[in-house]
Amino acid sequence: MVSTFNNTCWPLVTLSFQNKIEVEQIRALEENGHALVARFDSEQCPSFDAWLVARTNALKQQGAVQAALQYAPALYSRILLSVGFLLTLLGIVSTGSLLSQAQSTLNIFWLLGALLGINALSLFIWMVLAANFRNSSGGVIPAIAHQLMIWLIPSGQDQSYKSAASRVWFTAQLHPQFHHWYLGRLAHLAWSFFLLGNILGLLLLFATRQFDFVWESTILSADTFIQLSQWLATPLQWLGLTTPSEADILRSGTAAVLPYSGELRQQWALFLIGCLAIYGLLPRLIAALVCLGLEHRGRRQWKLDLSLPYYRQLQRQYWPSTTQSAVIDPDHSQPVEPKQPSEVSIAERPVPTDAHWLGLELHPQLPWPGFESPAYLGQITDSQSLHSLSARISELNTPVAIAIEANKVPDRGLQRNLRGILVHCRHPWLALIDNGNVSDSKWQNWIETAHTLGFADTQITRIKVMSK
Amino acid sequence: MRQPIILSVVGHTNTGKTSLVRTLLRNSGFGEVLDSAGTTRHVETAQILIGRQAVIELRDTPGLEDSIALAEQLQQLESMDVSSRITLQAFVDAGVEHPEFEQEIKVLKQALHSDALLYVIDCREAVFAKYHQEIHILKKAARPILPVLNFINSDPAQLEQWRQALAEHGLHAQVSFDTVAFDFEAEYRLYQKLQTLLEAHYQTLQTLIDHRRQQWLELQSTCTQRIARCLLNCAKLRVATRENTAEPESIEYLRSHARALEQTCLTDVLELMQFSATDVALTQLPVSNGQWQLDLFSPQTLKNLGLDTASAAATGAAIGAGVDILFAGISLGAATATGAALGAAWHGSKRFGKELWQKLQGRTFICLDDTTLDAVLLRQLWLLSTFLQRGHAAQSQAIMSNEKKLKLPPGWPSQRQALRRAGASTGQDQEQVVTEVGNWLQKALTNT
Repeated sequence: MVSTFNNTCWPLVTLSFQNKIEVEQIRALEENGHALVARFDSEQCPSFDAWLVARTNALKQQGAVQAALQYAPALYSRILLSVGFLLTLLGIVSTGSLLSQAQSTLNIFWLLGALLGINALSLFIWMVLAANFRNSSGGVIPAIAHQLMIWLIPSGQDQSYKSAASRVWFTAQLHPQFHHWYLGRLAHLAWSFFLLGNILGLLLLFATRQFDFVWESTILSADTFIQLSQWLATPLQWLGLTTPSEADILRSGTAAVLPYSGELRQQWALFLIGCLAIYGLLPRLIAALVCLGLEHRGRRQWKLDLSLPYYRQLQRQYWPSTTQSAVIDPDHSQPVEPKQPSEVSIAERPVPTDAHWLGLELHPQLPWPGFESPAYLGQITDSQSLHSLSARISELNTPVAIAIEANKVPDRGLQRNLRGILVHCRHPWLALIDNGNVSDSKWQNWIETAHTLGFADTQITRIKVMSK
Repeated sequence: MRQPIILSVVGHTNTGKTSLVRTLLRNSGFGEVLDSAGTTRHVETAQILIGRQAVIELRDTPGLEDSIALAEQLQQLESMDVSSRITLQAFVDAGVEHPEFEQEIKVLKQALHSDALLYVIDCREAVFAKYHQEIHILKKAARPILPVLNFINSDPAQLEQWRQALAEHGLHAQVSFDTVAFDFEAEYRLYQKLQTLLEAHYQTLQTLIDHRRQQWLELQSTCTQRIARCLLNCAKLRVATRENTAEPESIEYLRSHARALEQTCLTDVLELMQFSATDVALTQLPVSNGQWQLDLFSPQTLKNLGLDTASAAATGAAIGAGVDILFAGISLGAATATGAALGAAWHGSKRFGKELWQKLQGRTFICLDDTTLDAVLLRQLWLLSTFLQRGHAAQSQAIMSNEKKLKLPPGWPSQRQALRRAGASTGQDQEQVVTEVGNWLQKALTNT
């Protein structure tokens, strides 16, 4: 599947989790051999991240890609809805089952304990464990959840698109940076559905059957129950619900005070449902919201690993950090074929004993004994020294050896100076000073330069010195 | 779109102008670098981008080869009534009349049309009159000049003489920048100095500095994460073999897979750092054409790395600490006690089922031993630290010295143990360990 796009690129400050997953899904598709795009240009993109998202959005316009990317989230949503529905149903059924054996009189606190006890215990355990999530690098539950999700991935040759994209989607949901909060959120939502089922179950039962409510105890006093009931009823009163008064609570202490008034029945029924909502459903929803917040924080912090070869390749191709080089002022001279450096040997020929020495841009710290020689005339470094030493040389009949460091490049300036000397010199020698660090190409350059300037091989010598 | 800052890189021939551009661009393919005069004969340019925005345009110019003769020519044109810049412009405009200065005219043309000049100096050279003339001529362009002192490590006294000479020309803002031995801080200082010279572009340069620093840190982090993943994959390697004697084919399996993992890591790290296999071959590292030359399992490799060769074969060690590994990968997480117990059984059977099955058949699993993992770590760390300090113009050989034994960074044993444990754990745990070991490697690299 090869396409060319020039898509709009929106200025994104940060990528959403959805953006990141989709980009990763596209990577999975392309790394699994699905060639999606041959070319994608978008000059408007402010960043590479935004470009990746724009490219993904463009690719999503292809039907097969869209279907592959949406398969896992659609399946997941269906499963979540089904599970939610089942849990609600289970909540209704369990409430019905709990009260089916009951007579027309219900023990209020026993019923509350039965409906909220396990929920409260598991919430407490979760809170204790949540305090240690930061130090936990993984866990069995995430591993099992991951495996369960992997089982949902379609297999088969014809499903390779969906399979590659779905694997990424499911794996991303359980990223170690936020999987605890993600699973926590799922658990709290599951409990919420179940508790909602409980509430619905109670409503159904209270709507169709008449119950009287009592509290009983062998060892606890009436004051304890009154205080407990009033304490539990406080949030309900804030919501404007009428709850049993102190006298009503006292009256409901034993079955002996019956018959019940219809108003008191309603108050206790609302008290029960309210307690289930406030002390069961609400904490779960709050916990789910906390998890959601922390999960979102983790999702925001999760970054695409742009160091992966896939992204590096895209970046280099479409988002380079430098432009291609370009020649803006070309060289019009005849191109010279670069020569392969070959091993050049220059003999250490003895310079005539009566020769005078002349330096050409020698480093003052060069360990060359010629500096101390009485036959040393000095060195040429500028026009003035060139003129004065040329005048002196022209008066000499003896050979003149021009010493030069072989590790310098024979540039036009040096060559001009050499030519200036040679005009006045009757018997010139070229003494190339070798400090041991001269490359073959430099020797080659010097030999060619020397020949161009008219030096015969017998007039060229090498002088070895220690390195500076 | 804002115009980029135009910087012309100028200087005497063979001082490292193209090398400087290569290093600033992180592109070893820019221009041509040879050990001879007049290698660059044209003006070549490339831009540094932040996103799509060109921030800096670097113009590589030919070398100034004969500044003394050029100065004499310019002197003839100068008059009291006309500014030096106009004289220079007139000389450039009349370029065809001076074919002998074709290269120099190209340089001067760029100098006149740039925002600033980076004047590259080979500090191994004595401060001859020709260099004074070069500065004198370049100053006529009336553009800020930032001297870039190259090859600074050879002679401190010479470097000082250069600094003094430049100060005499009023060039007090200078920067030491070795194009071969790269130092990010030097690049940082180069842009900082430019900020002082180019007040109008201060914010643009600050953005570039921040961007470059972020890129540099990301590069280090990316490379260390990649190496951590390689170490994890090596730690995870295992193969079934006879219980008492490792079968040669099993050992070969381990070795070949370890080699392949290390090789892929090498290629990726080079790719990340924008060095090619050819660059490495040039350096005569123990790597040639992108391949490690010394085999991971060669005793010489271990010796070079300063590791214990007594374990010799570095073939593999039987997974003996099964119980430890089994429980190490398990944390309670969100599981209830029952869930954890069930999960542990499930997890253990998934991870060790195959091992138990092999055990029943009188076979066992072997994995890479600690010495091999140490060798992989040291080689990758050495590679990374070498290339982080290598300019993209470097052509000299970087040889891994046998005398300088590498030391395992402190804390490695516990990291190695974490890698082994993660190898026996879930994908999520592995990701976490890769991040942690990567961070540890980055610290170890800083200390190296």
